Amino acid sequence: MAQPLTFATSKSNKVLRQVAVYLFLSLGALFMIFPFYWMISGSFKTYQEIVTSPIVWIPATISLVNYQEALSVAPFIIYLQNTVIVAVANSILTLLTTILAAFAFSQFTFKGRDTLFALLLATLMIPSELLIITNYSTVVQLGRWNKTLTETFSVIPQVIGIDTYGALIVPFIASIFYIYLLRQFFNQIPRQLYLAAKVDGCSDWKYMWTIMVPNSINALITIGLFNFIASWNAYIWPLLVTNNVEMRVLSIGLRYFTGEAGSEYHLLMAAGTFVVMPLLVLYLFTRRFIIAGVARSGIKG
Amino acid sequence: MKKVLTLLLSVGLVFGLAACAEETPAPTTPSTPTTPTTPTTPAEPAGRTLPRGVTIEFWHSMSGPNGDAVQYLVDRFNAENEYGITVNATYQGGYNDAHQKVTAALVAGDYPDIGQAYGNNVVTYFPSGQVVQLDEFIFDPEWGIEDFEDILVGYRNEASAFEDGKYYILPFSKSTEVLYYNPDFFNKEGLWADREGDVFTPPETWEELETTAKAITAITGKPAFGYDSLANLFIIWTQQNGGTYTAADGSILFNNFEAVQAVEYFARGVREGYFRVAGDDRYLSGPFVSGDVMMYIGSTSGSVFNRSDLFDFESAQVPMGKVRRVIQQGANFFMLDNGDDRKLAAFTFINFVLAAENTVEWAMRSGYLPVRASARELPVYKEFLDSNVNPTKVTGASYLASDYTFDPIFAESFSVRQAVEVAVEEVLAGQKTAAAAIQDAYDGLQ
Repeated sequence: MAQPLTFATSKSNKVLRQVAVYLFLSLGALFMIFPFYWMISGSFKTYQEIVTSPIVWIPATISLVNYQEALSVAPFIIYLQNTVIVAVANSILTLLTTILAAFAFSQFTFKGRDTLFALLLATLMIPSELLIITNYSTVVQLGRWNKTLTETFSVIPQVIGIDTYGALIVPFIASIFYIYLLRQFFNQIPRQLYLAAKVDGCSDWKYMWTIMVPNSINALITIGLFNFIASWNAYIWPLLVTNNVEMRVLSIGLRYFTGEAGSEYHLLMAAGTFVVMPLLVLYLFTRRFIIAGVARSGIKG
Repeated sequence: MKKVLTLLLSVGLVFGLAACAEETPAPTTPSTPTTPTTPTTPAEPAGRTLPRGVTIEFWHSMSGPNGDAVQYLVDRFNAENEYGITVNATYQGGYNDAHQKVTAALVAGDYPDIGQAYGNNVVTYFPSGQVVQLDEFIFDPEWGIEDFEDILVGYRNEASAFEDGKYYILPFSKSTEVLYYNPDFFNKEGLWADREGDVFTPPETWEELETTAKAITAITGKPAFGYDSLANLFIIWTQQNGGTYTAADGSILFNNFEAVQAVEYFARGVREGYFRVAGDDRYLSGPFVSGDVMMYIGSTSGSVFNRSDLFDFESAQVPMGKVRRVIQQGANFFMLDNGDDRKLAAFTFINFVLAAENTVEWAMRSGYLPVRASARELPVYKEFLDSNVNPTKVTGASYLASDYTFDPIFAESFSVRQAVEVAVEEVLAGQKTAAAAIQDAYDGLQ
């Protein structure tokens, strides 16, 4: 007699709990989606609609006029091209240095390894703002040497210095944080695998690429993507090292819509949508890996 | 033991690196001492010559139509100047971004010939020794600025408001504040009609402004007037009533009765609901355009954000007190030393932009005002003002040159503005009395 009752209660409890969970998740989802809704709907509003209160939730007409106007303000296509080149190159090179360093720190035992690693970790405590001017000086100086070389031997191209891809990419191709992260990940892979591979005559290089890397694919994609996003969003560094419009990136384009006494919000939202869209698409395709990577390594963005 | 060593080493590394980086001024915090060492550029020998074909770099912060206006002047100069000078103008982000970039560029030794900045930022470049003292150029018989006295006295004073009284900047993107109002509302409600018959005139004094605001609030039930910049409110209200603010040597002088009155005046309006601050809207152009606020005081350079589907805005002079005072704001040219030829070429370009017909062209194409008194008399500008494209241009031109007041320039002048703004906000939030807030701000800055 009591049994079915308990059953029913626990079942309705379960349903109730499910409802609560879904309600909570839906609220969270709404909360996360809101900024995107605001940006995308804003990109279709008129200036009047976007500044008016009470808030206009749905623009009266849907037209692409804001996009046309916004994208004509600056050479956004060139900016997009540069941003993609920089972000892709940056992510690939960062992954490369991260894999190599993390492998060395996790698999090899050499004199001073832990000290060296602690030193690297300590550099994480230096705020990047502190380094930006020294980095800038370095790039300018390297650019001068490069120029002298180029002038002497015409076969050597100008790869670093103001207005070069080198200046946009190279300073950010090593990240201690990602090395630390990946090292933790590599450490979880059983040591026996390494020893067994060694017994079978596998070289370190081959072991790294055939065992370690495929086993950490989620973590690597997560790192790559986070790096890609950071590179995509970078503003002050690209502004510092570029003067030529042809070498500039998307984030600088967004700055054009803000004056000293206000912003053209409707245009800013259109340009913002244009800038964010590629990232959203990328995220949709790599979502599976990111979720797995975050779940296992405990990083979040 | 090993761990201790590791720790010591890492701590040492951090401090070592931090010390390296500290030798260069951090970009975000202008950390120059109160009395900056003014650079000593040796006097130029008379009788300069300029070789043909010099190329110079000009970094600016003008985007949108203002950026187009810069490019227009640059293109014309490049095509017309008789020395074959080429100016490369590049947009370097807003004033703060450009300030960071110039700071970094000075350290790296790869900086432009001309920049655009507020005076207090230029002061922080002095220790580099590369800021060009402009007196030798301005007053040069051959290359100097023609009819220099024609440049508005307020701009000339600001340009030489440095510790040694020399010129280090020249006026460029100059704006001021005006009272924006929604004429449709006043016409509809017949407000002000009782003052001068049927002629609607905007409030001319702060008392009239208060009365008008109360009348509007009685109709709309919403705050009627706002002020975009609380620091400007404080500065001009205080000075209009005979009070003082700061001096060029960095002394803080606002602990006076007029300042207290200024804050109390505005706080009373906010408390009783007929004044408001920009708050989360950041600028009152939003609430103004959507018909929430019927009047506000804001920068002339913000007029572009006042286009509404509902009405065409009008503008008037800001209300005046015992003394006529209105804020003069906006950025200036400054020059950095890349050798004599480039300096002379850079100055030649600035001189071109400051010429009457060009400053007028600049004013007509950008959101800014002409820098010369005679510009207002030029037929082309008169015609432009009559064509009524943008009422702020007319209002801007209606201020007397002697009306203008500006923040004296020293490295911390921006911190003083911020401190004053915080003081006003504290009073508006009901946390402090006006007298206490001002005293605290004053004590904090000492």
